[in-house]
Amino acid sequence: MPALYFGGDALLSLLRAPGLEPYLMLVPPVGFISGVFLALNYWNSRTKHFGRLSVARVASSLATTGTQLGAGFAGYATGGSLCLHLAQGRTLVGTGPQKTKNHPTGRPLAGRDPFSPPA
Amino acid sequence: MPPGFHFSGGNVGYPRKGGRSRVPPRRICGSALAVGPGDAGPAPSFFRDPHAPSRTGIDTWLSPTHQNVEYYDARALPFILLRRRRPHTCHRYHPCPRLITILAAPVIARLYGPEAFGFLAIFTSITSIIGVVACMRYELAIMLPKTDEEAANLLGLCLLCVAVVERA
Repeated sequence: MPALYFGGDALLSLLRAPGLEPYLMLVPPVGFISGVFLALNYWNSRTKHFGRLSVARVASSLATTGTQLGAGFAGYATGGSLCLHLAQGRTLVGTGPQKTKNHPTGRPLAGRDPFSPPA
Repeated sequence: MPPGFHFSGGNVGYPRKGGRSRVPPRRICGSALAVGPGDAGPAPSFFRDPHAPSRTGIDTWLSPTHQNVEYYDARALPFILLRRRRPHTCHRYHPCPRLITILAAPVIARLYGPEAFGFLAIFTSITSIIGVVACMRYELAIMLPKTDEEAANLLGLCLLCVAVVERA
């Protein structure tokens, strides 16, 4: 965040895209979400929750496309809204289905191995 | 070819040399009809015992020249291809999400201007570069440890790295 705050202007002048400046604050949250998404992807692969993986993938794509279309039809058709919806799709759905009670950061189910794949 | 069709799977014919193979050899539907080892039974005959039901529901016959190999009838090929298989859920390049994006692309192109796509491209490239290093590549190590506890600790390390990198 501070790096973008201080180096954002230089970056945008290098890219010659001054119009992107208000949306630069979206970069840290989107990076955070995609990093968590990536880590949880590998965790789910390890614990053999493949159904959850594919659901997350499809749902993320659906949410991103749906919000882009919705904002376009609602009249907010700007570059920022495209970027925003990229973030929003991942946020709403990408991490949603992966957060379960069997997750090590959540509360494991009593009397069940928290790391075992679903029956 | 339906998805999930394998010409040769794991142990097609015989167990590997040296050590027992963990997975027992399976019957695999293969190219024109060669398949894995069959349960040849006590009395080898050219045709399979008609009273013995096959596990797959598709009749096979035993090779006259090769022991322990059975073949599918060529007429059974469509049924073999249409047979229900375990769905491949973990497919990294699954067509569904791409299909959604591709189908929506013409509509989005009508709604948004070209500069919006330019912004999106720049934004995506910035975030993808950051997203690669966000976990410090520790996410690749999640698969490696023997115990799940260590893997969970690595997951925690990944989340910590993400938090630190995005703070910087």
